[in-house]
Amino acid sequence: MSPHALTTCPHCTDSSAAVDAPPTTLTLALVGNPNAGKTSVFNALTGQHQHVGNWPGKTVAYQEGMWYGHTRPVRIVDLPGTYSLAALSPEERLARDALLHEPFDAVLNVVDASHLGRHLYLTAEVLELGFPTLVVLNMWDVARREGVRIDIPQLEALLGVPVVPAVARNPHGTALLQKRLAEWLSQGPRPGRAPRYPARIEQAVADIQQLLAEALPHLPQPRLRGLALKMLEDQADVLETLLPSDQAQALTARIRQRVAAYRRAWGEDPALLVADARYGWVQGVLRATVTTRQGARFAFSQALDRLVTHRWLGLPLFFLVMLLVFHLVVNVADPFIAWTEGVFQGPVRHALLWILAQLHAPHWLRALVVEGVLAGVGSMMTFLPGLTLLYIFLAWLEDSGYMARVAFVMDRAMRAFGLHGKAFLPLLLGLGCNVPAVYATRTLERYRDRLVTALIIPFMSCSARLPVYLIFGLAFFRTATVWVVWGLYLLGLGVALASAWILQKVLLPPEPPAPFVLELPPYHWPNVRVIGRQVARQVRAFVVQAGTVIVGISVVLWLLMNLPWGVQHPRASYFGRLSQALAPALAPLGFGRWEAAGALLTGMVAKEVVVSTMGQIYLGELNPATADLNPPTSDDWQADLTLLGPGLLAAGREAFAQLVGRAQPAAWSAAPEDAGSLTAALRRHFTPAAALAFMVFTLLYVPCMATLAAQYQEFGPRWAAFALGYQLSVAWVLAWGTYHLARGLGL
Amino acid sequence: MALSDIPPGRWAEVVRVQGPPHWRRRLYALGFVPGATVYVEQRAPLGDPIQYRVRDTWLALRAQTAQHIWVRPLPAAPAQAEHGSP
Repeated sequence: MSPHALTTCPHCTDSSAAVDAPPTTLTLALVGNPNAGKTSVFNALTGQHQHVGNWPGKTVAYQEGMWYGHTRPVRIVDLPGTYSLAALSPEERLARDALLHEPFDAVLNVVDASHLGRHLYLTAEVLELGFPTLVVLNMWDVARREGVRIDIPQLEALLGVPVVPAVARNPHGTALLQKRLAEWLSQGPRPGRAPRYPARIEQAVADIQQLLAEALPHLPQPRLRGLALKMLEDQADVLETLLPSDQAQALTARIRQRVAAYRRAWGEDPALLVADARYGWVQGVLRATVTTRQGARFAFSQALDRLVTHRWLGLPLFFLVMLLVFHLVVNVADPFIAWTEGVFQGPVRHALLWILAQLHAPHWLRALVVEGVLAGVGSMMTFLPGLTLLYIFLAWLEDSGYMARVAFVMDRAMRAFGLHGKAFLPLLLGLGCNVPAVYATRTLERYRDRLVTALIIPFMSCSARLPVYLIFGLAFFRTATVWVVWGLYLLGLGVALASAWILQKVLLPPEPPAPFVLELPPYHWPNVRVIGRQVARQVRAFVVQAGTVIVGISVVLWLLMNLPWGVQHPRASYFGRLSQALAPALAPLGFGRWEAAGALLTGMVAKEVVVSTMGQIYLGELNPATADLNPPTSDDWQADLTLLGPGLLAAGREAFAQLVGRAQPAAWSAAPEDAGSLTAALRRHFTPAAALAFMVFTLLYVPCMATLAAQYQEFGPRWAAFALGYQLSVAWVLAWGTYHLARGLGL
Repeated sequence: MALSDIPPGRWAEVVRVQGPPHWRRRLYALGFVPGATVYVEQRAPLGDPIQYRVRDTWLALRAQTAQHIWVRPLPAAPAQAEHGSP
């Protein structure tokens, strides 16, 4: 958390005090609708000076950054996107409560200039609460192109605050904004003009305001008026964080009685009248300031939508796009993954060994650096090609407006399991690799949707699990292997969907059913620079946050395998002893032997390792950690040079071959070379029923430390721990069931 | 009649919004207030949700949500096309 972490104090009696802020730093809140381009404005202003934090006591992340365009440093806090301050979702409530309780000096309200009709509603609410506000008319270029003309001086006069056009996606599109913002801050920002309501509403507001003023004497009048309006709009919970809870409840009850009285007297819902009046105000502002050239505003997007969401063509087209993304992220990245692996096995390893030899490092240090740390870093780096591609596609699909159509097309199918339509892409990606799939959940707006989707992704059978199915399948089920493998994929999908249902209905606190609303923004061509910067930031975050976890686990595992120092057989190492200790827990599943436990334990690092560990253990191979730690020879350097130059070209060629579909999918060629002897060993140690249970366990338990690290990065340590426990329990129970069912069937 | 019963390609005017308070508030905030005109664009390929145009913006609602919005069908596009909206 940042040193400037926002502090929410539930019993604060002094929440008006902007004087509490550090004297030299100004704090601005960035507020806007979800599609206003708030993030672009944030990025344009703060550039590299930003970081992600968590709200105190909450799991919703926020971004904050520093802007240095003014004499005083300015901290900008990016609040969650919200259509209104009606606080109907956790994110919206967060935005509302943060605005009300944090000592912000002023508000930057980002609106989409081409959709003022929708975005000014939030502006009205912000002005109502008496915040000094600067309105950013973002996407000014789009509005111009669409024939929307806005009379800015007139708009400034009506709102009583500065209104500045901007094109935040363009490198120079915020020059004017930065200049005006600095001037405005120097002059001392002042609140604008709140909408006026019909007489009977104003009367009721004044009435409630009186009650509020008694309880909250330190708040300025405009804020009290805004709060009174919120109470009239039936947002009783707004007082909960302003007052001690007993006091808040008493006051809320009194005010609710009044509101109920108004409802009876007026014969209409006060909330409706307020919303209606607010829209009346918005319409008035629009009439006075905006002229639209009638014409082909929606024509292009409409034509594209007719195709993309067509009754018959819509779904096939959608699956085509999804498969293309899957193909690019999983298969086309593959040659680069192999190349990255090669670079770490070759040049990087050699360079490190050379340096260590120059330093006369002892053998154990060489082994730790090369086999522990470097192996961890290397396995993290192998995710980068795929993740980079994924981030690019996600940003592109999101910015272009297509992702909203994905949700539109898939909502009907996904909601049966309590999942959002946009959860389809992450789940599909999970079949390739769980790690990018977890990051793909970022396209979901609601935290709860993201969390549920990320927790069920590990049950989607990723391609690294296939070699395990194949070696066991071919050893025990021969020609029926293909059916067993299909069964495992379906089981994984079934467990994922069932888990989604269980999480939503049982494990997570119930949520009042929210009306489903999905905005379908007009299509537009994404800006390459913006996407590039966004992708670079996301990749860096992965390396720092997930990378730490991956390298850490890798080092711990290396230590377990090599201590006590000089251990010869894996069984005698701490790793072997841990495996032996764990084996009894697996006995009810039919494979309670330390070899199986050890293979599953290394499988936590990466599923690819399960088969090779079994090879080492069953075929009595020596621990390869004691292999070659000598400084590189000139032959090694020669090979490295080849890899770095022609090797990269070859990877590029192969990626292109994958792109045009002329290469074999990688997973099917992954069967181990010494399969014959391993097959025989497996038949000696497993019954068919135990083999089946082992495959089910492999399918369902922790996919790999990188997935765990991704869940940790996205949802914090507690949810990562929950994921670990949940996956292990589900795997154990279903493997147990499989074992006994198979035995019952005579296997 | 309910907004969910208006076929694609037709116009309607919002009369009243029903349902629990927090539903109504959300729908008001999005522009489904009495008097607002709504154009029904199309249904999703699987029949639901439905794409509407209201106050300059495309919004998709599930039929289950649109049921709560009571409307009066309009024979044609409203004459006073205010600010580019339908």
